[in-house]
Amino acid sequence: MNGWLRFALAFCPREFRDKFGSDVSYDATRAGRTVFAEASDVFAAGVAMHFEFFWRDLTFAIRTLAKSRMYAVVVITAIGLAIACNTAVGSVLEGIILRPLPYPNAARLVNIAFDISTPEFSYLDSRDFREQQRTLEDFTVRGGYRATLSRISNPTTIDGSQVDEWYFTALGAHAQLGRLFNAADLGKRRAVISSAFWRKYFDSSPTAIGRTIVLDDEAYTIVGVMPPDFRDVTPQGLSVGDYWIPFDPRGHYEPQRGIHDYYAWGLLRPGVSLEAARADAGRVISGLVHRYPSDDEPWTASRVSSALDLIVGPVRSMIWLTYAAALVLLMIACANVINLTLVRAAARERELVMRTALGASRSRLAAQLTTEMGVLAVIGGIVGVVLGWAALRLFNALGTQLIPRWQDVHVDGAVIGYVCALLAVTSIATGIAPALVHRRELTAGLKAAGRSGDLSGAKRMRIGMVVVEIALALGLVTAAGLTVRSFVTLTHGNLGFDSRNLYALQLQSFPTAQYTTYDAAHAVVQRIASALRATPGILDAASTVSLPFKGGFNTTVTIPGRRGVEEIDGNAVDTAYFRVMRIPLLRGRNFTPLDGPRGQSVAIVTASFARHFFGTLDVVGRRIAPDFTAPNTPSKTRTIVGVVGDTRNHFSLAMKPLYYLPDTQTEVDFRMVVRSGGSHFAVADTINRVLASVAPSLAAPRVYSYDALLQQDAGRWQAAALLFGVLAGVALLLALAGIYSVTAYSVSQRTQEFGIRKAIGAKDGAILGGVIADALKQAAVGIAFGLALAAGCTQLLQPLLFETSTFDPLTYVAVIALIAACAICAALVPAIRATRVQPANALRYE
Amino acid sequence: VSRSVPVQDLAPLGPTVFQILVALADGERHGYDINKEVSEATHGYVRLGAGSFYRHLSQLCKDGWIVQTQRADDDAMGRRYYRLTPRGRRIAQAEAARLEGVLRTARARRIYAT
Repeated sequence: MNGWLRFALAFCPREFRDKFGSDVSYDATRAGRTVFAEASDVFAAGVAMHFEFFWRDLTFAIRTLAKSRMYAVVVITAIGLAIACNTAVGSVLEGIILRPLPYPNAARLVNIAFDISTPEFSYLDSRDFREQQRTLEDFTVRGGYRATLSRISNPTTIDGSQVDEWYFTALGAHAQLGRLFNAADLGKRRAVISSAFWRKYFDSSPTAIGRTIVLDDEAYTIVGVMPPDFRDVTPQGLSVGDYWIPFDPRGHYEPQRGIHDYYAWGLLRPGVSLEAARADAGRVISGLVHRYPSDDEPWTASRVSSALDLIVGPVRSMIWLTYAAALVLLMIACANVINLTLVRAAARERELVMRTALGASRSRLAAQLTTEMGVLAVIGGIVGVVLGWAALRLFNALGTQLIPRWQDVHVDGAVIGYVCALLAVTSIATGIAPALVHRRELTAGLKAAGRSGDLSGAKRMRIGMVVVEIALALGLVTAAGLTVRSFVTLTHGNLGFDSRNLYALQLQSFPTAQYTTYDAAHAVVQRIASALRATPGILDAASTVSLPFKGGFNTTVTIPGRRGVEEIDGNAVDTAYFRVMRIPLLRGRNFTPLDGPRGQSVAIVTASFARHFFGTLDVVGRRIAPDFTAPNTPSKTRTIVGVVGDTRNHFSLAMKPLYYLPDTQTEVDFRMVVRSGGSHFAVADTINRVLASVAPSLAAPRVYSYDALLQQDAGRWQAAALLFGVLAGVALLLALAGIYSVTAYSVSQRTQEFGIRKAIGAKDGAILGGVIADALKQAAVGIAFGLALAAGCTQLLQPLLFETSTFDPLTYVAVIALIAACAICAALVPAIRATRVQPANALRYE
Repeated sequence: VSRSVPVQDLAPLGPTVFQILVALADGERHGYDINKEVSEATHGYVRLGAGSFYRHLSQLCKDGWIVQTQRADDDAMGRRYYRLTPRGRRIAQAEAARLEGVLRTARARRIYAT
């Protein structure tokens, strides 16, 4: 027989094949038409019959489900919740980790770090590196650039980039309008603007090309407009800037090889490995360091990493872990659904046995059960995707700004496809498991069909499912407990300063035409500070270079008379800083106005600095030599005049040693800290009003409240705690439903037993206790398995935990108590029902 | 389900189904024979491949309009034979009566004259 015909017949439903198969093949070979045409006809008939069966199963399934609404609602809820979590987490995984960066050659895009402590390149080093390297197809550097935009608007601070002539080609970008930079643009006042900027200020008019924008009082000619989807690549993620301007080889910073301020990106040549690129970069950079020892020291090691790894590295483990947790949740939901289905199947025992006896094949029965499950899965899936989408929107409102590429997270086609695959697996698994039990138990079922009996296979499977649910739920709840505990530890630690009613502001770009010297700028900052102090509602104000939780000033320190250099953060502050921040002075004195350019070179150090270098707090009078760019200082070696308390710079970081210089002995930019009298007070507006009256040419600064800043820093840990918390809560709910359904069913099965026991004088308490003890026994087995699971798997959580052991006893005790309490609660309702059994009714039951 | 439906309510039948029922009016036949008869009676207008034909036959068996008779072992080729059930015959009669009514109307309106 023709192979195609044989296949077509094999494809037809079994019933049809058994009854008509031989006739069909006989007729097909005798017909006037070609065997191929006949075979195709048989195949088409097969498809039509399968569809008819499916349609019948579907309408039947909907009718049966409509009759057991409670079951349908619980199953849809279980699947919906699990799918919601998987949709949300799947979107995060896809958008952040799996999707390539939005550049044509994203897989070959790498970041080249000059040195581990100073990853950035200087402009001159980047030119040399580009010429000497041999493993990259393209190489470029980009620096963030913040400027005050004027003329076409009120002075506004806007963010952009300073780039070299290869930046856009390395990223594979093209202009939407006009052109991008070439070598001739270096040093010229030219700009490429973003699509959004173009729309906002030039109304998307093509005549924008050739017009000028004024940045920091300099006019730049617009040469091009970028497409709206173009993003800048930074180590923290993809950013959206308003403009790009070329480097100026004769500018202020570019000729200084010591100013490492630009991140370098390269495109690996096809076929070149990261290791080869690393070796090559190491060769070039060590050459540069030997050639320019005064500018490029100290050199530790260069690093070449894939751009995607660099950006998502910090959250990779968290996202994979959450993804694993979401899958575990789906498994719990499946176990729960199988459980409910078994309970329901036991009630439908007679129907199923009857249909088997009437000739329904097992595969037809399984197909029908799977279709029922499919209907529930599809509804649950739709509910889940909508809930998941809503959950992501909700997450947007929480601290997700610190998660790189969060803006790329969407519920898109790939996620929907993934969810559909999950649903298919779910409905097959949950539809087939009960059918398998029935298959094995068919003869027993026929024997027992006369009376309501509990089949041992189904019962064992039900209890097994509850144990699995409890074990998995315990694992998730433990993970959640540990992350929450870590989060609490993190945010309730001592910061070293008083963050209440504290505000920070960043004064940007003093127009150079007006503030020609550092002293002029310093003087105006002090005038702003005193004007703020005089403002009602504001208690105090001070100036500083770096702000806690906003990054430190990376420097190195040597101790005169000792060998070795250490990397220590420095800060430059005015005399009011410690008072405003409420940082305690432990030894010596504060800075005074006398510590000026012509005074003695002084420093104040933190307690941990003193202990680290000198082993004691009594270090007043000792000398240190910090490497702080300080043209105003008489001598690089400074005398310690005071010791202050430690401050935390990040939640995740321990209190690190730090030193302070008077800002009159340095030449740096300014930030301010302001303490207000109350929190419900328009501090930002007040500050801007004062600033506008004292220094009208300054751009309005961004004002941050420290509460918001801390919130942001805690965001990543908060997100982990919240995610695991939600997943664990859902898991607990599902486990609760599992215990409830098994206990309730077992109680209903034992009605007769309870009736007889009551008739012969059993106390309510004994019956209640017995039912709860049974549930607790199942819970205990689940807890035992769960503890083993948790002990094994929480090791993976380590990167997300802050000063919290994965064996934190408090968490484990709390989790076990919680699960046991849930088991008791779930068993309580059916147990009470058991005590209400009337002996007479129970006997009438059979 | 179909058993409870009055035969009049099943009209109109599909042409294929009607032709299969008519082909069985004389007595039992085997599948290939029925298919050939249908094709000839309609002058090739209804012409079915084996797959589509047996799919119809399977549906008719399921609905109880025809039955498979136990003659398979009597036939030298091992063919299965089918015959009309009383219900199937009534359905075919009802359809034929309906078609006659249609023809009568067509003649009365002089759209069709023989």
